[in-house]
Amino acid sequence: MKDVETGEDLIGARILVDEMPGTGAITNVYGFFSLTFKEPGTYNLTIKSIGFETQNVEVVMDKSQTLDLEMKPEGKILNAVQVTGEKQDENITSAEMGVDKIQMKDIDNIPVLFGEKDVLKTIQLLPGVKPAGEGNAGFFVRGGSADQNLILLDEAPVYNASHLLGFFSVFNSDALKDIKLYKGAAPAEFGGRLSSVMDIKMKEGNAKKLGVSGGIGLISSKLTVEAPIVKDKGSFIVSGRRTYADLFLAFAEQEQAQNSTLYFYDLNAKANYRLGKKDRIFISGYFGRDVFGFDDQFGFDWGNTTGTFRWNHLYGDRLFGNTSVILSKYNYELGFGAGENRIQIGSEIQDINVKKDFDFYINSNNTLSFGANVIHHTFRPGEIETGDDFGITLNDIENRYSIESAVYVSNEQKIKKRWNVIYGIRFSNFTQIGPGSIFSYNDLGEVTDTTEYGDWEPVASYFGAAPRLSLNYKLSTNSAVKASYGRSYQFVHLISNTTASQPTDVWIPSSNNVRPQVSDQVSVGYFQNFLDNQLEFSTEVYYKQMDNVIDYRDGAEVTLNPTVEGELLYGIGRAYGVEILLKKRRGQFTGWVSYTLSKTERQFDEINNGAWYAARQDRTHDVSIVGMYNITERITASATWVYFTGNAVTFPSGKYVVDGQVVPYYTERNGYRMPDYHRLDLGVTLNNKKTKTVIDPESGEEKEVPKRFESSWNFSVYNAYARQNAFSVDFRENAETGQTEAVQIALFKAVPSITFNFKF
Amino acid sequence: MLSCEKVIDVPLYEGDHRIIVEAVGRNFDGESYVLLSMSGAVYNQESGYDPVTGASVSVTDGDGLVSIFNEDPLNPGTYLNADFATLPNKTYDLSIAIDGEISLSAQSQTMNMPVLDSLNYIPLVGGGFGGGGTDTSYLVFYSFVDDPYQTNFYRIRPFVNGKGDDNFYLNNDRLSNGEQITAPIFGTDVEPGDTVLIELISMDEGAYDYLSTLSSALTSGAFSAAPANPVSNIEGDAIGYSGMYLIDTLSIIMPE
Repeated sequence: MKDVETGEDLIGARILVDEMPGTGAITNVYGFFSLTFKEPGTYNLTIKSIGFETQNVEVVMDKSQTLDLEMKPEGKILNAVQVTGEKQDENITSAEMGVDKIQMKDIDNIPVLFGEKDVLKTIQLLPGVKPAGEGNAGFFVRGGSADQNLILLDEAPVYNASHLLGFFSVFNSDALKDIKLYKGAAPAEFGGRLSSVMDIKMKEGNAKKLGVSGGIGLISSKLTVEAPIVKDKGSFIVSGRRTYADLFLAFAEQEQAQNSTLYFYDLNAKANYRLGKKDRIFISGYFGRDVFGFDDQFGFDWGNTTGTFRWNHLYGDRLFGNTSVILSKYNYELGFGAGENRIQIGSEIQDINVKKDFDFYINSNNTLSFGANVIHHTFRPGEIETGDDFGITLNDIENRYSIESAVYVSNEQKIKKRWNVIYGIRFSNFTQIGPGSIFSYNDLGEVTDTTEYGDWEPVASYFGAAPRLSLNYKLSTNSAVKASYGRSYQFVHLISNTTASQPTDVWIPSSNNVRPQVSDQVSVGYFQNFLDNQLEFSTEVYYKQMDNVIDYRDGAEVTLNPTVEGELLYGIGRAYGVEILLKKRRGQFTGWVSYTLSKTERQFDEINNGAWYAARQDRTHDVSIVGMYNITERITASATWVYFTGNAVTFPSGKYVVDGQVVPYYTERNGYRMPDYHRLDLGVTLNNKKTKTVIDPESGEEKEVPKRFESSWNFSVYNAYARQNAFSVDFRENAETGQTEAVQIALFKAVPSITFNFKF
Repeated sequence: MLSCEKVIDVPLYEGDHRIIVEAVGRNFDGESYVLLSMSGAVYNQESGYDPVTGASVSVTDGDGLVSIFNEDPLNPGTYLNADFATLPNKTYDLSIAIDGEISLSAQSQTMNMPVLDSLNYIPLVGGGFGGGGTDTSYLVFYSFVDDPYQTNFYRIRPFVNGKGDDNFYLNNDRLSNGEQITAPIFGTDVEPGDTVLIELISMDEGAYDYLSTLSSALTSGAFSAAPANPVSNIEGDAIGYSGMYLIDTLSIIMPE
């Protein structure tokens, strides 16, 4: 199933058979589907996909056959009458719950920071998903921490999804096709993180003709080129983006600022080719880097590299298989000084993953998915290199290795006409292997033993069985009740003893000392559509329990510490809440309102005297209102308003003097709240005329033909009423009065932006 | 358009006022002291913190020798002893009685005398952030050999032209027992002609844990560690620390 204009595979399109109500198929992530008809005859298929015109196709089924379908994208809706009467009721019939799906069209019109369309920022406008903080691209889902989200780009995990300390994400939306965020029980094919799975698919590239698009903005610019390799058989896409804040530094007065660098870039590339009727191969990759350097005294760069090779193969009519080999790497490097006086500190995590997945369309009521994968992890926590003059010997921190493997099976089943059920189980294993000198610790975190292990020798092994269950019961044609339960395991953990995530945060594996984290989540939801499916309403209630969550001893030293495992404490957590979403998906005016009421807390014997305390990311109320309005065919306006109550934070309850310095005195952990946060973003997009007037050579009359070169201007303002939202609150002595006062730092006031976008 | 600071109103619930103990023993006669004070409210009006006066303070060593610390009449809350000096490989019991009701104590011990071997320096041209393009400054290194027979904890305290560096340079021998330890003093600018005095202070684990957690608690700002009170080694209803130190010093003068 493909887009008729570009040849892109359509994910999640639904094929219904009019003569067999209650059955049908959904295209998988490669646009593949399979339908079984019990008796030969002529059938009417209704084909739907959000953002595309519904189609009716008649097929004569007298033997097995292959059907290639193409769908036409919907035009812009200008008045209410144009809304089609076709039911777009996917949210009512699908058993998926706790899922947010982003279409690229939603992102196009939302104003974001510096005019960049950002997938991660848009996700944070949905219920249950909270931004990690101003200027921070991380996010929290249903009370989980920022490292509990599995972010996949074409199946490759992205360990640090933010540029420039979190102001931008690494995802260039021009290269993306589909984004799905699973907040609740993710399907059994996913595992390895407790709170969410963000599954991002890159575009394949226009298989019909050459397309070039791009944008030039105040802070960054991008360019995307896509074209067929062989028309309708293969295509590629290359997309790049770079910021150039440092070009302005060339005009700075200070010589050192002139020699400084500050930029990031992303490069996405993908190619695919159909080798025959049954086989298709894909190669995709991402490469991105942030570079910051001050003169030649200090340098800091970090980034991700991912590469995926995939091979789709059809085994007969109903069994679709895919084999993937995936490489993912995240590393950073810090450098001080230059030449022989320099010191460089580097850290890296690298994964090699081999996966095999099958979709078996057993019959019109059952789709079975199963598969297996094996990941080899390499952790390089700290490698230190010094120039010869440096004079100190600093030792590298030893590498760590582990193997994470899983098998899963899952079935999506339609029962009678009202039930849609997904059930499955995922078995996973995590084994820490040598080589290495493995430490053991006592309760105080002191090293008690060191044991040497050889290459590939197992040190510790953990096994987990994670069942997943989702139920959907259709109450009527426009309402449904859903329930789900899921268990998840997490074997790698992000060590970060700070309130803001930093590129120098280190991932560590489970080991003989660090057990895997486990969570169990149940949720129940009610979904209803109004006004002929123009308006969607949903509410979900969830409860999540977590075990072996990690926190740190008071004053823990986590930077470049070879015995960092001794600084960790283990406890339990719980999170619960209510999410409400009201969405208008079609019409001249579209948008949504989302509200989340929630609580997330932790309990550790050694912290807060063993009493439950609010997790840092606990925010009681969270509201997002998003609106997009097509004023005319050429002008679209959008507005976003966000409000949330502040994070839990530890403030002092007293102060005293020791060693000649004023020291804050703390009573309970996270007993206070940061100030409330709210912000309005506005934007307007002006499309240049899409047609031009020509004289028809035959009739001599004027007529309008479409222009090859399309362009638009986007103007946006972030934080339109310039509220100073707190990034941090410090208690300091006023130099003049000697009084202690609370000082708030805010990052942004109003930030305007202009971008010129083009496409041909 | 970009970041800005402002003072905001943050109501705080005042915690109970706590007794603060700062007891420092040094191996030079008369340089040891015990400071007793009360903590104050975060937004208190006065600039000082109430001293605790009239307490009985004494230190008893492992041989039974008792040293009484008397309150300095010029500095209430400061307790001194003109003859007390720490000695290697001894245990010390600090005992404090306040108003006949509150009693506090702490146990500390000293190791072998530390020996500071040498000081070195390298010149930095254009030195570091904010330095001018051609100015010379110096990065000073200290070097000493850790005692292989004991578990050691150190603080290195630099004084540039007599002024102490407030940063905490802490070191221990967990992964470098018996080895030569060499490290730089990053925190203070050292200019040509400056006199740099380095104190190598040997202490026990209790004092070391307090100072390293104190150092974390003092780091303020958006990227700080999760705030927590320093880990005190005082027994009784007080916070603070008792550190019995052995100190070796070396001085070096930078070229002009």
